[in-house]
Amino acid sequence: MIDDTLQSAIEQERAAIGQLPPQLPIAHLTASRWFSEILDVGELRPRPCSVFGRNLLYLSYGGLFYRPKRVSTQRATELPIGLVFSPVVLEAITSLFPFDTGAMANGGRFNTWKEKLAPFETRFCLSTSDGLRDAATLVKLLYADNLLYLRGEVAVEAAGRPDPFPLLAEFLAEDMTPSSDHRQRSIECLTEMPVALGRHLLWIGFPDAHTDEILRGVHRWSQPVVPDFRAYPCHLNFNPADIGAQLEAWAYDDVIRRYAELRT
Amino acid sequence: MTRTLIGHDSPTGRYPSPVVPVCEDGDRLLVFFRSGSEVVHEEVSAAAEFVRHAPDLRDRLRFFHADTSGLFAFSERDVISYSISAEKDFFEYLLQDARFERGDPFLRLAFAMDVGHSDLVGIEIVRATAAMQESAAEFLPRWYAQILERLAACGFLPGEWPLDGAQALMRAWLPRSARSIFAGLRPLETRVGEAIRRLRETVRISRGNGLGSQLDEVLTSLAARQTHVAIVGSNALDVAAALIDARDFDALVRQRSQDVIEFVYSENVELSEKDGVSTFGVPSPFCALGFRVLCATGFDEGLPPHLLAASDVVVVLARDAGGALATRRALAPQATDRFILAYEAEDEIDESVNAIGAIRMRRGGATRFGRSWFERVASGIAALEDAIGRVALQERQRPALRAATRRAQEIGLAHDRELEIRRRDRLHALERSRLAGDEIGGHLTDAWLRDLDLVANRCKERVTGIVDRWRLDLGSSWLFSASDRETLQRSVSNLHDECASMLRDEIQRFAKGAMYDRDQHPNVVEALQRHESMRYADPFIVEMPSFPPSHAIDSISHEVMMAATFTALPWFDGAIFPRLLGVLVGGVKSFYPNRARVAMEIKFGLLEGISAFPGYRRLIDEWAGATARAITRSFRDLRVRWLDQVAEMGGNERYELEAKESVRACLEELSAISDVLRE
Repeated sequence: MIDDTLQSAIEQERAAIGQLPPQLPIAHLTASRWFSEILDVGELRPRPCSVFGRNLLYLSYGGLFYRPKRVSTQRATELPIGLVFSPVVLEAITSLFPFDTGAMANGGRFNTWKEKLAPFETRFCLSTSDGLRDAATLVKLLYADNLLYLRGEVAVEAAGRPDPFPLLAEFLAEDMTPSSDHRQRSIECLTEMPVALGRHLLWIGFPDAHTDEILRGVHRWSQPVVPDFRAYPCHLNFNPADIGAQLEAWAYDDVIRRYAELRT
Repeated sequence: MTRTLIGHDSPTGRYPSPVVPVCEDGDRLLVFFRSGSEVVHEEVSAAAEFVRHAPDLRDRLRFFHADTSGLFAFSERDVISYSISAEKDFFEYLLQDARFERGDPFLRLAFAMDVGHSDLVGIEIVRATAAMQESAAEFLPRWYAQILERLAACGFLPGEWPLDGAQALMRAWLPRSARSIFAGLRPLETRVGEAIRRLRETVRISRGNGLGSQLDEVLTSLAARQTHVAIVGSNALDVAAALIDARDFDALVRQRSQDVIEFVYSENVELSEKDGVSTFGVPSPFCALGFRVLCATGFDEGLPPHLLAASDVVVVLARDAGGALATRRALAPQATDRFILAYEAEDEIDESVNAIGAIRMRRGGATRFGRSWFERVASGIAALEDAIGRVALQERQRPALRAATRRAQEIGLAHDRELEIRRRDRLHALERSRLAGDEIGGHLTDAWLRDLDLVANRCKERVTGIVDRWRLDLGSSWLFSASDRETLQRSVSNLHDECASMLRDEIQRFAKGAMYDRDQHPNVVEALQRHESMRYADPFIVEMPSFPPSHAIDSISHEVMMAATFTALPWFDGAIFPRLLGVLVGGVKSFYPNRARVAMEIKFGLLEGISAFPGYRRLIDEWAGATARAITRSFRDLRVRWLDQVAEMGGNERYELEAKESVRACLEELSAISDVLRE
């Protein structure tokens, strides 16, 4: 039987891969209503995942790419909170995917590709014990460098790599705007372990109501480090998609840019 | 399609707060968001959780329109709607509302910015800054800089705030704020010679055995001293080769746990000479301040990118000036907008602290700074530190507000003079009453009411005079305290439109916003009396049309005079007049937010003003008893606040002025003044 998994293809390419691009921070989006609970325990904890059938924590590599119509909770409305962590947290990552598995599992705009990429849960899963290395490896093999990854520009060379790279490259390169966003081309990081807020939290974006309480709660765990932050006004606009876009831009300007612009 | 408001959801889960309307649209459940200037809706699951409104609340909010109205909730059950087209006025009203007085200061600040009233913004900034100082002082400079940016983006205070220098000031301010935190932290002290020896030994071992145990031990030791990691050394290229190879370094990080090494921290490198031995201290306050400091040595080949990216400050140790220069050159292409502190040492590291220089690298060039630069920045930030959290901030940085303050003082003096004249008038009236043998018995309430009755009688004869005096007593402060004429104009226009809106459904022949004349009063009254709920409707649950721009401030007198002639009408007494008072009280309070004395005088003035109108006795009767429900909540609140201020409730459930200690003191004061006058 032909092994056309991403894992296998990457192992074939690894020897000739050359120098990897610098690692990027990883990000997580949560709901403000949950945040006090997170501050109580000082860590992000895995939650039940319907796609993989077990508790998982989702993070995105290189930015806050999640652009929700609604943050997924039982409440009618939610305000997002964005967290950006040091690349060191990649050590806790156990699986990487080259796209957003949630969007793929839900079908919708990816419906056609869901069939072509099936079974994406195993075929495109990159199990890792070295997240620092493998996240950068995915970037190198699919996009060549960090800036191209963040722009979503797939490298021409990707289509010439072993299967399933050509199919994956075709999917990543397809223009599905406006129905799709950067999640189509974002590297998803999964872990079954909690991620501590601790000293690796680089940045946080949150609604400005009760700013003092939120920051006090963060500092309880991050001290002596004082993370960077942005507070967005939440007295008029409650649209999570608008806010998500704002958080992504701020996180990039404040933190991620200086990683992304580093030379290899 | 009919969209029925059935509930709301507070995205923060707390109150008071703006809330998201939840409406039924046939079988669908919709939530409505603001997106820019538009209102968009999103369908949510039928099982979504939100606060369902009780029937009485739904009735109160029956004028809500999903596409044009917003919701604000003081609690789950206390929700009001407002017109988006008039939201700035609503926010201004909200900032004066007692139910929101202790609301979240950051939310209040956001509202104040939207209102666009610089005085309000100044007040709320102070409140929010105080909250930050109290709870999250470490974040204060960064927060403050962001607020300045938001203010500038809103068009506030252009050029008057130190926006350009905010970043530099903030950074310089940070160490000061953290000094107390690190007062008890013992700096790492290692003899230079020994440190170098150990590092060289480490390199030797690591070259032989991979990353050897001694290096591990050194790093563990350093981490245990809460210094995280300090890598010290002279221009030892072999140290650099061993430690700074990115992959080995990362591997070491992973081996030792995430806490041991991520960055190398050092505020500075302090050298001292004790007993002929140089020591090398590495305190680390920067790490508490969000600064990522990389202490490096001999990086002629450049730094590992991910470490450099995560560093704000790079400390370079070099054997001599040439080595430092070479390293700086090597780092320059990588280090954009970052500090590089280069320490030059002639032999190992010596005590030549004066040789320390700092180079701030920028794209396409470098600027050299010495210690004096940092000292200048530090002294600059002292001013900011003094300013934050104080009203002095306004005087230092906001000429416009300073001018307003001067104007306020002038008005205040004029106001005080006027009050003094009125006080003397009252005393004379009191004296006249005594001389007339009235049975006042020192009872100030009776004396006042008699005095005010006299005023009212005079005013009945000449309505114009009453209105002018009323405006003088109350309106003038607000008039002058408003940042511009437009505010007052809008408020009066607003009231006028509210009246029109209340009438709109019942009296079709009155166009929205149009005035009506005396001949039409009976129809108005009859129509309103048929609808009890409309008579005392909260204006903010009535859909407010946009303000007609044609109202000029000069027409205010005419408007108020017309209103004054309506005071015998129940709807005016019950709904419109209290609202007018509310606007005035709100305006004056915004101007004198913390002056209890002024607030007290306003209330006294209100009593006079109210009593000066025909029908005041009925109103006063209502204050005392069972018909209080007939007047609107805002008016009841006003009454209760006033009565609480000046009186206490006696056993007969009536408020008694003389029972209040503060009033007794006031009486004594008045009595003393009266004695002086009599003499």
